[in-house]
Amino acid sequence: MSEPPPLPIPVIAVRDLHRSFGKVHAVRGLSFQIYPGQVIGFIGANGAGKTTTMRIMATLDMPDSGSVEICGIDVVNFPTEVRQRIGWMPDAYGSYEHMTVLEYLDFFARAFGLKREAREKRLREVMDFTDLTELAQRPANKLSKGQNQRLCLGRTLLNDPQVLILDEPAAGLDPKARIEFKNLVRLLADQGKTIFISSHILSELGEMCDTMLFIDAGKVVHFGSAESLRRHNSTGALLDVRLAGDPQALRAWVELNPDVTLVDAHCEGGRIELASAEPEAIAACLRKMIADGLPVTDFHREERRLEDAFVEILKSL
Amino acid sequence: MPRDFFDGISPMLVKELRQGMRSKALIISLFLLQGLLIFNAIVGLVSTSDGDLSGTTAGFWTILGLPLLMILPLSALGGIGNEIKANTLDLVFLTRLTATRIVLGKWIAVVVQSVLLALTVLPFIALRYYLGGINVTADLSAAGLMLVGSALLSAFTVALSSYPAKIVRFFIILGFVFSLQMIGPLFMFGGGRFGLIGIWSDWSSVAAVVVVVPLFVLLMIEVGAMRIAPVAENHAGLTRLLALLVLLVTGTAGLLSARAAWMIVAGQVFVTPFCIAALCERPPTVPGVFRSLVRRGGVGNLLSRIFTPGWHTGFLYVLLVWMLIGFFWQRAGWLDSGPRGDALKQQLSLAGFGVSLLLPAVIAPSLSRKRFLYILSFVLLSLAVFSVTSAFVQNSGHKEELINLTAFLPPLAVFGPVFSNLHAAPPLIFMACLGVLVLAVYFFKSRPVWRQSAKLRQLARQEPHHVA
Repeated sequence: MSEPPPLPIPVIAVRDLHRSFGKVHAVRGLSFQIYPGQVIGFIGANGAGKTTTMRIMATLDMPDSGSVEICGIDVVNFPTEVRQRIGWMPDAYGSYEHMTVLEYLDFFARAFGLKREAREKRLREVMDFTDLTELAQRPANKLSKGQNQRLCLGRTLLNDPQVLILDEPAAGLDPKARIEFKNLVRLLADQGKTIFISSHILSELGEMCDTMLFIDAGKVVHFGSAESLRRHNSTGALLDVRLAGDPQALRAWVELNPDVTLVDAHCEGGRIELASAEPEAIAACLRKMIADGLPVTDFHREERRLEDAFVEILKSL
Repeated sequence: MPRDFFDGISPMLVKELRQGMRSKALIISLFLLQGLLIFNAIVGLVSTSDGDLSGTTAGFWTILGLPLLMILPLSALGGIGNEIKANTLDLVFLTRLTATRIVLGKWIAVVVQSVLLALTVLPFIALRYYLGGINVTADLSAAGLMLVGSALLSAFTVALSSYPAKIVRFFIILGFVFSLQMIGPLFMFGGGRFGLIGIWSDWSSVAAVVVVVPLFVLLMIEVGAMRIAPVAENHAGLTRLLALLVLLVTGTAGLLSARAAWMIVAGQVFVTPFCIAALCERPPTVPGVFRSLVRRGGVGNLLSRIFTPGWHTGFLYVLLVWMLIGFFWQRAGWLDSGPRGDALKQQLSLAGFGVSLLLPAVIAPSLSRKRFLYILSFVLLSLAVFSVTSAFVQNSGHKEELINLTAFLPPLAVFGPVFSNLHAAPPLIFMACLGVLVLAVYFFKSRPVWRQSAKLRQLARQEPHHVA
C-alpha cells in the first residue's frame, strides 16, 4: 500500500501573533500559513497591522506573543538564520550619498558575504534582471522613484532569498514603472520564490497574486484566492449597461426593479448588480430592459473589482 | 565591477571610505589644511631673516589640530544618526553585518581620513626641519599623539552619533571641554617636552594609558553598537567586560607604582556610568542574547549570569566591580593604614561607593528598569539625606553620630566621610542590616527575571532545524 503524499510544509507560518505599541494593539492573534511558490497579496487599510506583521516576519521587530516561522525557523530564536532566507523591501527607505548604483549594490553584496567572483556574477545577474545596468554609474540617491524601487528590489535579491517580503513596493510609481515592477514580480514567482507583498493597489495585486490575505485591526478577515475575495458575500452578477439616450433612464428603471441595485452610474449608463448570477436570470434581465423600452447599446457581465470587495468587507465589519 | 577594495576589508569600511573620500568634510579639511599651512610657512619665512620657523610652531599645531581634533571627529557625529534618519540601518542588519561591525567600520573610516590628512602634513614637517632647525622627532611624536587624540575623539563621537540629537549636543560640549582639558595642554603647552607632564614620566602610567586607549575605543564602539543593535545581539556583555578591563588595567597600574595610585580612583570613576547603565537595563526577551555564551559550556553559562543584559545581571556586575575596587584599595593599603580616622574614612567611602549605586537600584520602582527612575530615586534619596543631615548639623552637636548612621546613604556615602572628622567606629550592625536588606530586596525582585532567563538560556542551546 503506497503512503499518502506528505503534506506541504509552510514556508511562512504565523501563529496567534500579537503586537502592541503602548495602548495600540496593532496585531491581534494573527494566524496564517503560506506554502512554497505562492504569491500572497497582503491587504488592509492603513493601520491594519500590515507593516508590523511584515517587520516581525523580517526579524526587525519582536512579537509580544505568538510565533512566526520562516522556512521552519523561528524568527525570534534564530533571526540570523532567518535573514539568510528572506529579502525585505520596506515601504520607506533611504539611499546613500556619494555612491553609485553599482557601489550601492556592491556594498550589500559584500555585506551578504559574497566573495569577488560570486559577487561580480550576482551583481551582473541582478542588474540585468532589474534593468539597472545602464544606471550603474549614476548616483544612487539621484534616481527616479521607479529606478529607486528597482534598485531596492535588486538589493533584496542579492542573497537569492527563498522568501521575498515586499511592503508597498508599487506605492508612488507611475503606470509604466508599475507594469515593469509587476512583470518583475511575476518573473520572480516563476523562479519559485515565495512572495509576500502588501499594496493598496488591489487591481494589481489581483493580477500578481494567487492568494489574498486581508486583515483589519490586526485580525485576518479573508484568506483565499483573488476570485474568492471578489465573490466574498456576493451571490449576484455585476452588469455594465450602456444606453443610447438619457443615462438617467437606467436609474429610474432600477428603482422599479427590486432584484436589481445600481452600483455606480457613468455618462452612458451604469453598473448594476443582479441578485442572482444564474445565466437565465441575466438573460431575463436583458429581456425586461428591452421590453421596458430602454435603448440598450451595450450589456455585458463584469468581474467584481477587488476594491469593491475590499470596501464591502470593511463596511460589513 | 568595482575592484577598488579587496575582499578582506569590512564591507562597512568599504562603504564608509567610498562615501568619506568624497565627503565635503574631508575635501574642505584637506584644502583648508594645505592652504593654512602654506600661509603659516610663508608668514614664518617672511617674518624672520634667518628662515627659522620655530616662531610658527603654535600656529602649525593649531592648524593641524583644527581638522584632526575638531572637523573630522565632529563629522562623525552624523554617522549613525543619519543612517537611522534615512531608514537604512534595517537593510544593513538583514545582511551578515553586526552592529559592532557597522560602528567599527564608521570609526575606522574616520581614522583613515585623519591619517590621510596627517600624511599631507609630512612635507611641512620636513620643511620646518630643514629651514627652521625644528626637532623632527618631537614633531612626529606630537603629530602621532594628535592622531591618537583624533582617533579617541572620533570613537567618542561615533558612539554618540547613535543617540538622539539633544543628548548628543550635551555630550559634545562635555567631550569638548574634556578634550580641551586633557589634550589641549598636552599639545599646546607640552610641545615635544612630554616629560614635563607627570603621567609620561611614570612607566606604569604610560603602559596603562597604552592599554586603556584601545580598550576605550572598543568600549565606545560597543556603546554605539548597543544603541542600534537588534535585541538578539548581546552588547551589554562586551561593554561590561571592557569597562571591567579598564578598571583592572588602571588598578594594576596604580598598585605597581605609587605615582600612579590616582589611576585606581580614575578607573573607579570611569567604570561608574557603566555600572549605572547595567543597573538600568531591561532583561532580555530573546534567547539569541545568550547563544554565544551558553554554547561555551559551564564557564559560558556562569559568565551569562553577569555578562548578559538586564538589571538582575547588572546587580551582580556591580558587586563584582565593587569587590575589585575593594581589592585595589586594600592592596594599596588605603583600608588599613594611616591614622585610625583616615582608615575609617576610606572604608566608609568604599562602602558608600557600592551602596550609592545599589541602593537607588533597589528602591526605584521595578528595580530601576528605566534610567530616569534610577536617577530620580538617587536624587530624591540624596536630597532627603542632605536635608536631614544639614538640619541636624545646624541644630545639634552630635553630627558625627548622624554621619555614621547615614554613612551608607548617598550622597553622604561618597562625600560625608571625606569632610567629617570621624573618631568613632561606624555602626556595623546598621551597615550589615542595610546590606542584607538590599540583597533581600534584590533576591525577591529578581527571582522571576532569573527564571525567565533560565528558560531563554535553555532555548538558546537549541539548534535551528529548517525544512526548506
